Amino acid sequence: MLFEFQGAITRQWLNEFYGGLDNRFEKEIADPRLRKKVNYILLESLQNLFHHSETTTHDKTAQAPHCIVYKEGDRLRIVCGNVLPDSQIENLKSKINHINSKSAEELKTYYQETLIKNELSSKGCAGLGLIEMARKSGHPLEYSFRKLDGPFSYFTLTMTINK
Amino acid sequence: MNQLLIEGTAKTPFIKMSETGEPFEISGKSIPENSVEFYQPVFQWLDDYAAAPKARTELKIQLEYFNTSSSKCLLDIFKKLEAVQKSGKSDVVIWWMYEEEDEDMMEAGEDYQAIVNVPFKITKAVQ
Repeated sequence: MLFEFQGAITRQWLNEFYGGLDNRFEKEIADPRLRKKVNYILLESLQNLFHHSETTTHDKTAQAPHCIVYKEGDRLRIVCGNVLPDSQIENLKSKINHINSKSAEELKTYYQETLIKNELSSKGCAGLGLIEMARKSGHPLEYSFRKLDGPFSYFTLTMTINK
Repeated sequence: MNQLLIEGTAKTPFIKMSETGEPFEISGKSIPENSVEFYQPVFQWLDDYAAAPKARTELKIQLEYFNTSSSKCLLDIFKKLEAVQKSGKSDVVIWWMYEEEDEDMMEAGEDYQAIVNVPFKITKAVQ
């Protein structure tokens, strides 16, 4: 296990996280390019959790947002989870499936098109973030939804990078 | 016009823009949670500059990291420079600089080069 976090993500916590960006995983990941990719994906994931966690009240329970990074053989896995309103599930599923259907070249073009097209929203854009994470990891994004009480589910996203 | 000078922090880049004829500079890390808030003064400065630009406008940008929310703001900056170029009042050049061995940053430059219509040069930073 290289990294583990669970709970409400605050700006203050994020600021501490940024401070450690340069040196994080220096011992555990020798390749600087790989280290940067992992840090990048982790950063995007945590900021995503930060933006999307604000709207739920699940922070204090076992359904709090979480993020872990661990080694599995010759791969690195980054897993993130957060609570999501059920109404967002279909949209998110189709976004991820769409991204997964593309080759590396197609993803590059798709990223550029999405970059030009998107209106700025106050929360940044999950669409662009997912594309970038897929590009950087070089593997399809894996995901699952677990139903919770009320109109909510727990969404888990897993990214894989080869060492 | 006043010079725009923003010191860098752990999550926001150093930014310097002036009308002295020196290239505009953006360097460091751009990973704030809300990029629009951070870049607002930059957009404003560029809008003011565009009204009466110098004959030559150069931007040197060298980032270690930028998050997706910054990527859009950066595009907005490039688009504003594109508009300056289109107005015919200034020759615009953008230098996208990356550290040796940072291929990901080089590729990020290629993404912008493909969609920005001003001379966009991708070069290794001289240490």
